[in-house]
Amino acid sequence: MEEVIWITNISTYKTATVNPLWACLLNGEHPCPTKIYLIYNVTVKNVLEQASRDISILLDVFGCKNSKIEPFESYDDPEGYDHRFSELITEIGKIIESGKKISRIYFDVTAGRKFMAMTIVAHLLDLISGKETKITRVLREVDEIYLVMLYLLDYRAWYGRNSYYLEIPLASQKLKVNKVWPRGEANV
Amino acid sequence: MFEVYVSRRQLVGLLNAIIYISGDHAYISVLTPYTKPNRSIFEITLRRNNPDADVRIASKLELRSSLNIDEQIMCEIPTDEDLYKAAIMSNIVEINKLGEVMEKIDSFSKRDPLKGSKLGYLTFDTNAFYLNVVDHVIRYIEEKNIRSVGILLIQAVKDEINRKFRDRKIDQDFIDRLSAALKHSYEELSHLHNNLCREDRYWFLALSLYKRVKQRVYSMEFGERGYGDEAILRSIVDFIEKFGRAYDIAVVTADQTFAGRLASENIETITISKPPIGDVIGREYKSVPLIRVADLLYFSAIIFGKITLETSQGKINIKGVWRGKRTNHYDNEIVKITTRKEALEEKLRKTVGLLSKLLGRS
Repeated sequence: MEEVIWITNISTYKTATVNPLWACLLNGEHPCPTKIYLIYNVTVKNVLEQASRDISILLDVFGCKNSKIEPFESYDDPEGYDHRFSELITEIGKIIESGKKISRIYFDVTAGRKFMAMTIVAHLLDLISGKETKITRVLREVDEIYLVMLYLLDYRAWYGRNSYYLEIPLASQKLKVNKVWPRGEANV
Repeated sequence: MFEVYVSRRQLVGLLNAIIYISGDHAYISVLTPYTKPNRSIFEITLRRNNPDADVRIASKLELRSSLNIDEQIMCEIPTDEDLYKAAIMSNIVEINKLGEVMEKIDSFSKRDPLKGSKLGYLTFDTNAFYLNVVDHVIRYIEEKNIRSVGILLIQAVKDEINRKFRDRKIDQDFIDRLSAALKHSYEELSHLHNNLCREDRYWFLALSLYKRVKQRVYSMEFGERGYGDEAILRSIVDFIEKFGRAYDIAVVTADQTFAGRLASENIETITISKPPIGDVIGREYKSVPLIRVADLLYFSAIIFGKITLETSQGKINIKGVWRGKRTNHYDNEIVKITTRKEALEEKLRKTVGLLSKLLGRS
């Protein structure tokens, strides 16, 4: 079975983690993830539980029977986060080494602090630019990599309300799913 | 059959679902069991790239049959007035002087009690609850996160609402008569069974609103039990005598006579009024925020008992009442969405059905 991996952060609002996955699955162009890594730190551990529960409901409604939610502990500082991110990619590398094919990885940068999104984007830029690192060596083995962001167009009206995707007018939010790998097909 | 319970606020989710199901734009005809088939009471146009909608209100409510309506069932038969009230309660049509109420809130909110200013309290007459004006006020306060304004609830207003509420229930015999008068099958009207008559549903909504306001931390209930203008006025005067040094009061009323009595006591009053019915129905309203369209669906579902949204993809029912509807459904503003159209079921399950599950309603 091919793996489809969804990687996202846990932040103070659970809906920031749940909504992009809902938007992608509803869009119909994106398959059910087989593994969902929820990167969290101690300050948002209570949100991790709520988001995990919501994502389980979401996956059930969309008929994603083979999906597994994997909480992944990290740190609330740029260096610690980068270190743990590297360990997460190493873990994914082990899946590839075990002979499994990873057809897609989605990096959702909607939730979390700016340095978290920056860390992910920086590694993806390394990948696109052909830089050789421990992380890019693993990511190159993946068929397709996407960068996801669901953002509010009407920021002032909706930010901080912890509203679910369908509670906000569709025209007040925009889902961006950019293919970043393979390089030739990248649309960033 | 797909069915799900959602709150008033979550009806935005249903509108989003209809846009998602329909493509770039959606056209909705809103029908009722009382009106002629294909004669919509509202027409709603939604667009994918626009958070606002266009709403056209029918110029007349055309009943399926106007013959043989006996006195006993009149409390359930809707009129043009109900279209009009749904538009006002949802704030699609703004009540006159509502802007002045909001300006008063803004002016109260600028006061700083730490610098010796009095805190401002708004208080409302019975009709302000009946017309849902208080709901617009609490939404304004909460959306703007205003902390230094309070709402004073007068017990006599609650008693007055309870007095107007006559608790007329719809039984099987009532539905039989209604079904004969409207030439409708019993099944089409069975959702009304053991529910309140339309006229009483308005007062029950007003009572639920009162209870919701009472739960707010910025509200305070005051006064002796009783009803009528005299009791309400006495409570307001008592409050000013007891707490006038610390608080300023502005009374919002839709009753000119009562406003005159308040003025004679030197109490600040904002007199709201409904725009003429002829200025409201038969008109198209452009750029209506989705949240107000959701409110229109909610209040229409309660007023008409059930509404049917006819979309290009099939029909969706919103039941404002159903067998087994309880007081807590009113208090939590819950309605029931159903569809028998198979093609819609799957899509609604992944949208509004999922929203309801996430919010713990099903």
